[in-house]
Amino acid sequence: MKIEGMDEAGKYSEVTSKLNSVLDEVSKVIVGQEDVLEKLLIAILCDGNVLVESYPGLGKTKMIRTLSEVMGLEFSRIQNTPDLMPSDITGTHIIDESQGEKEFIFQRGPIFANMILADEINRATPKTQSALLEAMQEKQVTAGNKSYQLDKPFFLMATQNPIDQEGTYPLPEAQSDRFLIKVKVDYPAEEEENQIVERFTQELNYEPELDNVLSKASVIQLQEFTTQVPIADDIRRRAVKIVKRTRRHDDLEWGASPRASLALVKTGKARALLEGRNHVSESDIEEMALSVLRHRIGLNFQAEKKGRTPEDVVEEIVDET
Amino acid sequence: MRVEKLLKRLKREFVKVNFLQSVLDSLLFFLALNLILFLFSITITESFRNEQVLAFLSLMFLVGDMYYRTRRYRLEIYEEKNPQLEEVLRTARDNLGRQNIVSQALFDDLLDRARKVTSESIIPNKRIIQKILAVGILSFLTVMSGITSFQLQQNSSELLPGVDQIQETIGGEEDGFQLKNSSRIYGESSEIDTADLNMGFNVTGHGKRGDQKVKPGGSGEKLRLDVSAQSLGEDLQLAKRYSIAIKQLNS
Repeated sequence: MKIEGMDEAGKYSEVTSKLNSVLDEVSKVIVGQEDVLEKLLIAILCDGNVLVESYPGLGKTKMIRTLSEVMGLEFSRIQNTPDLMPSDITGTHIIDESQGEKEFIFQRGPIFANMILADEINRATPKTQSALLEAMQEKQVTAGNKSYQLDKPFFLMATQNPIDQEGTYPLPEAQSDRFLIKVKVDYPAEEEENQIVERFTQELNYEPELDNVLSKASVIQLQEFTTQVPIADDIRRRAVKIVKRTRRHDDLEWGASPRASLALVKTGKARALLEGRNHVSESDIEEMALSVLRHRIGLNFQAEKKGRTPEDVVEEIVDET
Repeated sequence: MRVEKLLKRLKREFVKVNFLQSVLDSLLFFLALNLILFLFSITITESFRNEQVLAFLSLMFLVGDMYYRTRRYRLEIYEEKNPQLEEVLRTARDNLGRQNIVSQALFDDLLDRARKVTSESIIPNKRIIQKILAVGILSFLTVMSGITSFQLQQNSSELLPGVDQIQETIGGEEDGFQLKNSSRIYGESSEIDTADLNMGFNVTGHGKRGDQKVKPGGSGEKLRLDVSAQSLGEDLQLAKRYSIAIKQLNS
């Protein structure tokens, strides 16, 4: 991504057009789901991780694989099961005899990639789930007594089935909080589903040629760009106020941590960049509040009894703040 | 620097617009009070003319109003009137010190959008027209009431009579122990305006024939003393001496 030799406004619009090209390329494969794709891109720009809640068969793997291809990133998939061990994710030490002598070497696990799909994370045991914690937060894994840095950029998208399904372990609050945003993928509209069927039934392996729009280096550069997006003081104060209100809401057992305030402002900046705006708008904060807060708050018994959802509460707070 | 200049320019424009409004408000204040005082024959105080007091009060009003208006200055006023600047202006203000590419892009964008922004966008045209009309009407009424001498109350009253009383009281306190000095009561002799003033003294003598001290033939003579400003002091002394002499002669 060359942006030298332009004025600042020109460089900025070049960034926005690159990001839009990513979405255009992905749409060659994925039908609809624009909102989910946008949120994924926002999470990547913020150097954060995404929790996706959806039913199986909605094209999540396809989506993230395509995204990694267009962005020039290495992709890896981890299928979580109840018998999955932490070392199956991080890697383990094995005996290497290829050099003639026996020695222990570290064989890197599937976590060593730029884009990870941790499918059905709530099927893994809490022990395995927590193994992902270090990777998500510290961008490193520890095996034996040694820590290994993960490649940059690192992005993890974990999917989970709705927790009322059998054989699932709900994510602990501490781990939920480490996901920058939570996205709910809904079933496609009928017209979109028709397009999907048409697109994927005409060829044995539908794999259109995709342009490699970005690279690892340019993704890191974009992440730096995102942090530079300016925000007005009053808009930032409002973001903090929204998060703070979750801590003393009548319907909530617990509210969001200051990490949520950080996430709200960061995602607001990324959304502004994606929208081609050189500043964060009120609408960015309002739009991102639901994705940032819905998994960080816990409804109390009375609210659940009334049939309220975290989404209802967040929307109410945003409207009132 | 360019954005700082822009922000200063916007503030200057705001001050200009509000100065105009403050001047109009002060003018209204002056004219309205002047008319009321005239119609009801009210004198604010004997010490000063009404116009002087009102001019001073209007000046104070102008300063106070201007201070109040300037304190209310917010950049958001421009954003409300110029939707193209919404959020951009305050974001730029809050990030003035930043040097990165995105902030520079914001500043470039702001300067581009603000090029057409002038004070006209924040002038409350309707209100200013209303105020100008009010000034015109009040001026007309003032002139007409002056020409026709139309007053609702003929007997003049003083709004702040206490001011003179206070002065008298202060003077009275001093005189309490200086009453012997008559010049404190009647003023200095030099303050008498004697220009074109003739002072006449009639001196009539009463004596007996044979009285050696009395020169006969003086009866019925009139003694005339003319006093002019130039020789006032001497003349007064002379008059005084004559009076004393006549008094002694009579006794």
